[in-house]
Amino acid sequence: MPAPTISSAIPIRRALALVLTFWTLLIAGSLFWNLWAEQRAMLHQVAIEAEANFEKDVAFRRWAAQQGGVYVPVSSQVKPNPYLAKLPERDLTTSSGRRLTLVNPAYMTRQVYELAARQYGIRGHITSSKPIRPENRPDRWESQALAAFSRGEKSCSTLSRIDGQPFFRFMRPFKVEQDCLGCHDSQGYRVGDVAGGVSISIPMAPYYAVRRAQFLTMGAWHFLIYLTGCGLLLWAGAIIRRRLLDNEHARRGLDLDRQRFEALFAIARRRGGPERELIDFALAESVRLSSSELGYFHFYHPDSQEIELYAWNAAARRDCGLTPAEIKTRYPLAETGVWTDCIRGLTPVIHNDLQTLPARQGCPAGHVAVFRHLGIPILEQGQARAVLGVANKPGPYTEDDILQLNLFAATLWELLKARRVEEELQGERQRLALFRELMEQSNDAVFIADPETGRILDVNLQACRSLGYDRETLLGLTVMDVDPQVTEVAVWQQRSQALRDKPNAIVVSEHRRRDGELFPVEIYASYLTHGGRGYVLGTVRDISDRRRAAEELKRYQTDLEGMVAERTAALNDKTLALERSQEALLYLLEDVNDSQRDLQAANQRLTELDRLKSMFIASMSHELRTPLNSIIGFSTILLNEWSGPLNPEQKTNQAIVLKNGQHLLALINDVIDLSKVEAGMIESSREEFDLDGLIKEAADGLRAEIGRKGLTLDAPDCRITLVNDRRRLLQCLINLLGNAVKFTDRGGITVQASLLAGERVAIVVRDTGIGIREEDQARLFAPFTRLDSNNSKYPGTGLGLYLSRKLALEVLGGEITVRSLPGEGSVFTITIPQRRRT
Amino acid sequence: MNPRALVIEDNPDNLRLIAYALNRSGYEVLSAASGEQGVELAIRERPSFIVMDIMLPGIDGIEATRRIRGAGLNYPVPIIAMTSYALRGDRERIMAAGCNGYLEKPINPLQVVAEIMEIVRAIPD
Repeated sequence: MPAPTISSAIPIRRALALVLTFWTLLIAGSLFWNLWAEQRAMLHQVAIEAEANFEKDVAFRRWAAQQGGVYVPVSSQVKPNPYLAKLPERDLTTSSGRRLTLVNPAYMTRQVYELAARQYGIRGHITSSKPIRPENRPDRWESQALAAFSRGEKSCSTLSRIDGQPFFRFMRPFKVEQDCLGCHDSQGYRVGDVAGGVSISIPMAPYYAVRRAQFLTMGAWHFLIYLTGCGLLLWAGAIIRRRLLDNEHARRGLDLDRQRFEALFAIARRRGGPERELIDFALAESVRLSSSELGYFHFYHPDSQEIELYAWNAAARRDCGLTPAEIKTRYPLAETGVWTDCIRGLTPVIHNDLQTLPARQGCPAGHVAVFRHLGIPILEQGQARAVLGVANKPGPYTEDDILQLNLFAATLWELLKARRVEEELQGERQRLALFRELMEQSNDAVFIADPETGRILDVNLQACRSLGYDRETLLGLTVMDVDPQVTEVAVWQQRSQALRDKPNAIVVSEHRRRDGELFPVEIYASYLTHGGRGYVLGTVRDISDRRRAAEELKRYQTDLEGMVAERTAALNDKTLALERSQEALLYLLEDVNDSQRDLQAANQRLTELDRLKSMFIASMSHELRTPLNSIIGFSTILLNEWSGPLNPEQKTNQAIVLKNGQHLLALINDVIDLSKVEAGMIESSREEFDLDGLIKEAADGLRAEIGRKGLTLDAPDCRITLVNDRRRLLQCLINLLGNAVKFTDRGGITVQASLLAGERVAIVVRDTGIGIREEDQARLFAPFTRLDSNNSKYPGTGLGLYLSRKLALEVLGGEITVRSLPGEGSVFTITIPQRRRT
Repeated sequence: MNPRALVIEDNPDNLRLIAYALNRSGYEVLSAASGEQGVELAIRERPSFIVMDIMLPGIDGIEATRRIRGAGLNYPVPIIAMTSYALRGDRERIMAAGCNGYLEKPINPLQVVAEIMEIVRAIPD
């Protein structure tokens, strides 16, 4: 099964990304909000501190104002206030001589501020828009605040910098109070006026330090939480993913199991049908479910250690380059390669990289390429009996595949065994039925009896018929009831015992019919053992007929002897007469012998004659034609001016020589042919040829003469194919055509061929010549007949028609006939079979 | 160098006739007057083709053909028989002995070379 990929993995990742993003945003948001809150808290605290400071200062200053000021001893720090110079009791001296001076509230506050600033950094500043002392002038920030106060603002507080350091500055306006007027009335203030303000500046550094620490802590914690959160999310994500993967895996597994079961059921359901079909089906399923390309199923014979090739799947058969003839059916195990390792090792074997193995062989050239292979041996009682193999799965074979195919192979084997058993059983049943049938149909009576008790256990139809009992009754009887010679059980037991020692015996006895009639029988008895029990089987034949026949025979014999005696006497007389005749015969024989000798001599002479005839023909052929070869040949050479130019007279003379030479050759050829035909030694050939071509060839040779005489030749196509002796047919046709041309002075000649019934062909040569008289037609085909013997106008050998007809008869298997009217022309017809058989 | 033909023929007139035709077609003609001589020449001279008369003194044309075929020449020399076409079975014997074709006597000098070429051309490679 391929590694599962989850289609739902993508949403997982996306969801995870989404959650992580959200988490990040959440944490970041929290951090920032916290930081901002901290900041605000800090500011709030600072504001409170500032305000508290301010109030405290106001309280102190108010008290001082209520007292009208305080007297403090004069020191380096506290000098009499010049701005109070006009007050009468600015300076006092105590009774002990200590000098006291009045410190106005503002002065006091100022002093305190200076102290405070030194002591813990908080700065205070009394200021006014109309300052009395120049040091009370407002700085820029305070000016702005004062301006705001005059606009009606109640307080001002901001973060600001003083000398580069961060401070929280807080300022409130100072309203004139009654008590203030005690010293400040000269400035034109009224109660409720804004006299100025006091700004408190609180150094932020410590706050910032705290804030930094808080920020760091906050940040650190947030970061920690964030990381933890991320970690948890990722872990959760991984778990979910794993869970989904497992689900997918399980689903695939279930799917495959389902397919397996379906395939197994399909295999099991196929128990009917031929064995090969079953195996082919199981093979195809194995290949399919293991996602393989090829598969095979072969038997193994452990006794001979041979593999018997049996089946391949469709793809293997198709792709195999070997013809069925090249594949041996049996291979010794030793000759096969690694694909049978599973048989040697008696365990399934996977080869996922077959091409790399050095020892692979057993695949003859033309075998389809195998790069992955799984072999499953089918075992029976510890021996391999068959092998199921699949090959060329796209991915590697796994334990899963082994499991699956083992199951298939095991199921298949069980089915095969079951089928074989059933077949055997079926065969047994049929044999049994047949046997029963035979027994029933037998013409002899068949009994089966118990050897101990003599009880008749089984009988056939004939047995019942021969004894006249019905089957049921007969089965209740014993041998003693049926055979009078077996008088009692003891006798029977003796006989059984004898049979046991000598298994087959023929006993002549008697049987008693139901009505008491006895008849002689011959019993072929045998002793059988079956299923641990013994049985006596008897085939009983009624031999009454035989007895009767024997008696008749004896009677005939006696008669015959009497006849023989009579005949012997007659024979003696005849013998004497015969002897006398014999003598006469002997004389005759001598004469016959003489004649025979004469006959033999004559035969020999005839044979010799025949031989001479052949030799004559052969040598005459050769001897007569040889000189003609030279005559014709050299005439041709001379006539064609190969030896030099000729003058017209020489040419004429030479042409005469050539023409006569050719004529002589024609004569000789005819004579030789004739000899052959007469001697029955004419050779004939048989070939398929086109009749139109033959007619054309015959006509071509005569065209010159036809043209010279001004005749027409008409030879329409017939489109007939013949199977016969082309050469001889050509000869006949040339002869007929030649005659037609010879005996026609005006008009024309037609050659027409047509098919007749009975697969015969008629070739008709028609001319408009002088015709033939009826009385001449009779001897037309006789040898050496020339109808115009004295007329040298028509040269010829007188043999043409005779020979042509002979050829037509002997060689072509046909006939030549003629119809003619003097003055109107002649019609010669060659009739031959279209396809000659011999 | 003209191509060469071997003619095995004991009748000098016939030989002259066929040599005439072959010469005119550009062949140089080697000749032998007996079967044995013919076989020897065939093996030694390796002609382009052989014209073999069937009727020869000593071994006949059939036997001579067999011997030439059995001599193990490294090229399939065409052998054309010359026969008077006398008796049944002659043709079969000629072809069975190893001839590639035959010419019927009388020889027509005007056509004989064309006929020989036809036979030679028809020999399968």
